[in-house]
Amino acid sequence: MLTVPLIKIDEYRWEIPQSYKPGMRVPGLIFADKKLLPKIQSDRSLEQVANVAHLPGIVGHALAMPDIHWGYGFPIGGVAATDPEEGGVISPGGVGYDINCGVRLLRTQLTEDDVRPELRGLVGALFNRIPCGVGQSGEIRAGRKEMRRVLLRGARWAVENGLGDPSDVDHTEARGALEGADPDAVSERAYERGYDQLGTLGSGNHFLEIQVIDRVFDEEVASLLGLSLGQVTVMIHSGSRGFGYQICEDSLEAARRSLVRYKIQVPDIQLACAPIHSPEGRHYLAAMRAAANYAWANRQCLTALAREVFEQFLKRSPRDLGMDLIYDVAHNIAKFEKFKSGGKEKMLCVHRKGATRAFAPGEADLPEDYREIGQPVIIPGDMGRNSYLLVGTQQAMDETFGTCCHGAGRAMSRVAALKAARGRSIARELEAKGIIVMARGHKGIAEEQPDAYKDVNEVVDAVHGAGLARKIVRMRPVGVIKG
Amino acid sequence: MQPYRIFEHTADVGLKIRGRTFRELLKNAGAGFFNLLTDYAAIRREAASGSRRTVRRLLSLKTADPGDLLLAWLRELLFLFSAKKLIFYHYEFLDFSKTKMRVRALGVKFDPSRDEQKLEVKAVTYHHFELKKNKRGWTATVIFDI
Repeated sequence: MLTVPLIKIDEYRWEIPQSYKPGMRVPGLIFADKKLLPKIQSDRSLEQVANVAHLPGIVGHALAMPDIHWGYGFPIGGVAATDPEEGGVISPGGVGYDINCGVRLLRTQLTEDDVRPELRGLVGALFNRIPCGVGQSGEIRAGRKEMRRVLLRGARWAVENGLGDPSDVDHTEARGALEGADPDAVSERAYERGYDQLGTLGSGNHFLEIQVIDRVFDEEVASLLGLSLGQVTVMIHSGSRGFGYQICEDSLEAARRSLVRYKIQVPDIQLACAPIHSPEGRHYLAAMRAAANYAWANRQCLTALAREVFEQFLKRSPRDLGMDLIYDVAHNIAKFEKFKSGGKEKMLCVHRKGATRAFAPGEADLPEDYREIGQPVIIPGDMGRNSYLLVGTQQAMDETFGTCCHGAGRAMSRVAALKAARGRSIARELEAKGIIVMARGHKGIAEEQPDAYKDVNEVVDAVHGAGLARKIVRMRPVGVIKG
Repeated sequence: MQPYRIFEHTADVGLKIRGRTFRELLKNAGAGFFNLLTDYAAIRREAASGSRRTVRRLLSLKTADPGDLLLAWLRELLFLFSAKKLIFYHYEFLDFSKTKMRVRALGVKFDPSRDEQKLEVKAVTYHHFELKKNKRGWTATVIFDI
């Protein structure tokens, strides 16, 4: 297998020269350090970065975040911006099956001492209340008419139905809903898969986690965010469920046909795409936005369920509990954002697949209380390992279309993880470290074992070192529920 | 002949499926798929013993080629599991060719409170999809996003 050539720019930046493959319209740019590079080079994800560089209308670089790993067409941890006015395309593979898979972080007024004595009971209460796992239905149902409102209003729909607070919406990316969603662009099948999955966690690497802040890197910003050492936070990682997966699947066939119709050449059919200014492009965007809004509604519903459990189990009022939303970010999405390209300000279509928006201080899209500090970026670790809160920087705006990594990325395959886990009780090992894990099935824990993932600390150090985001606090898990 | 084998693929899983006939390949693909989701053998045993309520569905597919038919079949099974929680244990092929089929399928409803939960399959992908025929029959490779 040919090695993809990399030119070192500095300790954190590596370029794939445009000359590497004849169809590359831009170079590739990998953000990683020496420690992370060998793993990145081993799974053909760099080849995928070079392939993404073939997309019509791509601007700047085909980008890769430090947690990059192999995906369908686009690598996971890949970012690409296209210019609609230059024949720029939209590629469903650049968003992923789990449209608006994302994560939110809530703070509380609790400390570890408040939860430790009853931790198993609290985790159990969450596990019983919040549907997770294979084939699980949620209790929050929306009929067809109501679903239209969900798809148009996203997290706002949930708040309007008593499942949250207006300030939750203010502290959600895109204020919990993208404009331009079209419920009529969504297939019947997607509706059938989605009608009973609102307020469900899902399976795989989705989770709800109780965490404790165990390190503060920036006291000032932490304090502005209401965060301090020893404080309990709650993190929710989930996406658009079967609804979004179906929309992605529906779009792939149309995208393949578009390649022929618009005479687009890509080295990998999974980079199938359509011009943004085409019926197929517009259709996908309208459906993708509906799925994104579903996911935000979902995460808002999950928040409401989590708050209910905490209040009831710990017998605390909402005010005492103070479980407020810090921020919610998407990490599988395509958005239209203004960036400088060729000396001019342009509206670009930014694909983020396994990558998180990381806007700088001063950006108008941020909630008012974050305009000075920058956008909170939430990086979930994996079971047993740290998660982080960072803030976005101007460096990210200048170099990566305001983007940084999304998490740790898998290092070990699922089956290999199962083999490695044989004979070990991952749950027991984690409990020995003070972490209570409850999953629907033994396999869920084994597959998601910490060794299966790259070290999130290394990934976060790389984004921090590259200046794409700044570390604010670090959390460690104490309780996890997953499907 | 091993009807199917599960293999690893970075963050996802794949099935290597075999069948002496194309019909057998489809049945084995279904079995392999359901075994990714749950303990399929256990559900089949319970269904056979009559201890669970049976659901009947008529599935109808038409495609341009056999490869598309296999993928459409798996996607139909995935959709019916995701939307209706159905796990099929018996198929009666009413009408069958390598590009078109009508099947009367018998299944049970998956019960998360009692049935084992393994993997949530998000999608049937085209990645590394392969369908081959030789003297001994058919083989296929399908990768699933999980």
